[in-house]
Amino acid sequence: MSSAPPTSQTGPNPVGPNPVGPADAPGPADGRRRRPRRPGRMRRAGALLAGLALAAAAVALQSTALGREESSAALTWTGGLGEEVVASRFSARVKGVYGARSVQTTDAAEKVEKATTSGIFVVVTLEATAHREPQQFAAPVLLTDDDKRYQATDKVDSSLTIVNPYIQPGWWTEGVAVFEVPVNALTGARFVLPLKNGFIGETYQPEVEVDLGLDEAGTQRLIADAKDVYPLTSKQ
Amino acid sequence: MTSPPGGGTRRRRPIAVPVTALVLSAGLGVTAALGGFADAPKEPPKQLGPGAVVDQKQFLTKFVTSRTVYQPDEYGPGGRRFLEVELEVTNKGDETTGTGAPGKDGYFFAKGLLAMSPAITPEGGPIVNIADEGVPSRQLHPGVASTVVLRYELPEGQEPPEKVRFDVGTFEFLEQFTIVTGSWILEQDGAADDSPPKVVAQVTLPVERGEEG
Repeated sequence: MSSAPPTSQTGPNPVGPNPVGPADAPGPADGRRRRPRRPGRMRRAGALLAGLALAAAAVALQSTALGREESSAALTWTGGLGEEVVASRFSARVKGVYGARSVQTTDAAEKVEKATTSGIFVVVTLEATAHREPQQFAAPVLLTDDDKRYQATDKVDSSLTIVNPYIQPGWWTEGVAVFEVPVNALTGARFVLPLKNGFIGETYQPEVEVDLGLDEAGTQRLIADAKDVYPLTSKQ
Repeated sequence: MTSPPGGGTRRRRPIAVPVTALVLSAGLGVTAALGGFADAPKEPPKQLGPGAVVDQKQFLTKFVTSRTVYQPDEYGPGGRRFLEVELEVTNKGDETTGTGAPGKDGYFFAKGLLAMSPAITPEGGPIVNIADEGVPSRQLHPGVASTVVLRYELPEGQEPPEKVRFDVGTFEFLEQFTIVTGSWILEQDGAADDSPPKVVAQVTLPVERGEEG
């Protein structure tokens, strides 16, 4: 739309029936036919280079794309053993980690069951409080060093664990989480406490991730100190 | 692109069109000779027996044994009879999953047992759990081999079959491009959306007779 000033020589199209022929377009000088002016060799090389650079940049950008895990993950607040980890809707503190060869549960009806395992039970004791509204936790996860996710075991009735109570604002509620894992999954394991998801399925929910401090020595200690029977009752 | 009259340059023969036609027809001919665009003939499922191990990608499944079990009634005469199928299942995935339920409407691990013949269909389906550790569990943890038992209640008066055969499918991980993580689904037999699940193996287990009531 904008009309170029008549003195312009940079237009990509022939600017007139008699363009000033550049030196690099040697044609037959018979004047029978004028070819449209081609862009100079340098310009073509430049355009090619720019195109390649853009393509390379686009490919390089792919490497910064979020992975499956990252793009869908919850918002995670991290901390260590014994620390109070303050997330957006609740705070949690892991008080201790214990190993056990078996877990004996006594439910409200005094029914006693003893669960055994080919691996090891990991019992995490913790407490939590909510900030504004009551919250309830979903099944906690033990996240291993190689990103395998072990859900809390169903051999222990969930009514005896931290999943059961509503976490109220104003005071701390104590509870346990029990996992069943192979012994080789212990080193570097982290404890993940997610919130129960509603019917609609909210994404980016807050969760707390606590490093259980299980280095090589810590793992050996946990295994060596593992109780033969860890008792759990509905009464605290 | 007309040539200058008189022909100062050599006249070019138009070969692009014939060459293209030749290549196309040759390609079509070869494709037709190799069976056209139809699906390649399907491999028949492997026929396996007791002790066979089937790689279901998400799981490594060993078909151990099948047996009948009699459970006497606690409070009187009679009892119930079951057909049990024992499997050893290793979860090769990255997260805990469940033992699930077999068949068309199944879910989780047991969904990979596509069909059973002869079919025993107790009301509510068989009980599928891991029962050898004091408390029954329905979880398959990653990297752990668990003894999964499918327990089918036999209807009153029905003789248990001599042997049972399972059509075994395999799983594949479906990546999703939304914020939802992917999930394991059954591999299908064919490209269409409604293709039936692919049967990679048929495992036949003789049914051992336990004590009868």
